[in-house]
This record gives sequence, C-alpha cells and structure tokens, in this order.
Amino acid sequence: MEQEKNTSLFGLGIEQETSIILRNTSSWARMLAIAGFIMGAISVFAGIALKISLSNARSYEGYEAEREFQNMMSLSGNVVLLLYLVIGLVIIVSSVFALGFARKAIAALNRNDQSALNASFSSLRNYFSLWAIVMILVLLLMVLSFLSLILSL
Amino acid sequence: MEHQDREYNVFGIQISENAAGSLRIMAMWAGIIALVTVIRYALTLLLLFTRGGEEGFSNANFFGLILGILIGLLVVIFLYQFSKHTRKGLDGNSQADLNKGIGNLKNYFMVIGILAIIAAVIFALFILFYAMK
Repeated sequence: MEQEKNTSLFGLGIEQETSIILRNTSSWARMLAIAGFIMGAISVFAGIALKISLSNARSYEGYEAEREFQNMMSLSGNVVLLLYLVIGLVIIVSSVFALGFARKAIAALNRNDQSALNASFSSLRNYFSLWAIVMILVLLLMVLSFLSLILSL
Repeated sequence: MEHQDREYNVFGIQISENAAGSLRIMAMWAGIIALVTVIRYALTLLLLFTRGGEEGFSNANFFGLILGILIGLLVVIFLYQFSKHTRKGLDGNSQADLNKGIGNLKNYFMVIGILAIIAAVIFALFILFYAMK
C-alpha cells in the first residue's frame, strides 16, 4: 500500500507550467523576504526608540511621584521592548525561510537540482510551521482576553 | 538551444517523496493558519459588536477594521486553496491540482508581499515624520 503511494508520487513533476508558477512564486517570496527584513529591522528600532522615550518620561509632581512614575515607565519600556523584539525576530526568521525557499527553488529550476528543490520545499514548510504556531499563540491570547472580558461582565 | 535544454532539464525534476512530505506538511500548516485566522476574525467581530459601542469605536476605526478583515480573508482564501489543491494533487497524483495549489501559493505571496511593502513604507514614513518633528 505504502509502496503504491510512493510509486504514484513519481508521476508528479516540475513540468513547464509548474516551473513558470514556481519561478513567479519564488520572485514574490523574495520580495516578501526583503520587505520582511526591513519591517523586522524597523520593529526592533521602534522597540528600542519606545523604550528610550518611556525611560526618559518625567511626571514633574514631586520627588516620590517622580520615582514611582519612572519605575512604572521603565517597566512599561521593558515590556514594549520585549514585545517589539519578539515581533521583529519572528518577522526576520520567517523572512529567512522565505528567502531560503526563493533562492533554492530558483537554483533547482536553473540547475535541474532535485536536492535544491527538496531543500526549497523544506524552507517553505518551516515558514508555514512558524507562522501557524505564532497564529495559534495569538488566537490563544485572544481567547484568554475574550474570556476575561466575559468574566468581568 | 539553451531554452530547449532548460525545458528538458525542468522535466527531469520530480516531486520526490521528500518534497511531497514537505508539501503535505506545509499544506496542513497552511490549512491551520487559514482556519485560525478565520476564528480570529470571527472573535474580533464578536468583540467589536459586543463591546465596540461601549468603548467609543469611531466609524473610521470600524471601516479600517472591516477593510483589514476583508484583505485578510482574501489571503486566507489563497492559503486555503493552496492547502486544498496541493493535498488533492498529492493524494490523487494530479499534476493539474498541484499546479493550481502552487498557483494559489504564488497569489498568497503576491498579496502578502505587496501588503508588506506598503506596511514597510508606511512605517518608514511614520518614523521619518517623528524623527523630523
């Protein structure tokens, strides 16, 4: 049964039409990766800038209030920095996978390289795995906040 | 001559067991992403209609959110189609379905790529605006 399945796979290949579509897909994946690198870098810089601006915030309401306010702002700054770093990191890592797919798929098509094609699909598999896990985590956070909203009513 | 060689070469590459395994897994994850995204949008709309009025949600915010959801749904459709056709192509050994699946993957990358470029430009302009201020 398993053997039958393996044999049937050999009927599928990269024919002319598939190769054109795969080339277009690779071009767009490369474009997405470049935009992703820029967005990831912006996210990291935005996190650092927000952290600095929150740490330098002043309350001007006496010494005690000032200290309390600064501690709160410093903590908020750390949380914001961590959040933006995580977002930036996820975008950059997914861009690495997208670029890996694009480079290897083009190499596979140009050089007729079976192992490069396998590696390109493997990179794309990692790209989708990463985003699926991120999406599931985001959904869980949403469900938790939704539940806390319902319980607070 | 070179073109002919390349055409011949392209036909030499197969969807090996290894590649098919990766395609199957990515089709599965793509399906999960599509499903999770639809649930997320449904939850967002539910939150909007139950609490939106209380928290003074403006019309501009409302239309912005609806537009975002509509664009997101377009991406979800491409992802779902990629997942469905790729699995169908691999299970039924159908080259046409596999091509359709990869075609939808191209559309997905195209839409996401354009959106990412727009977002990067807006972010860059935003930062530039604040830096000049």
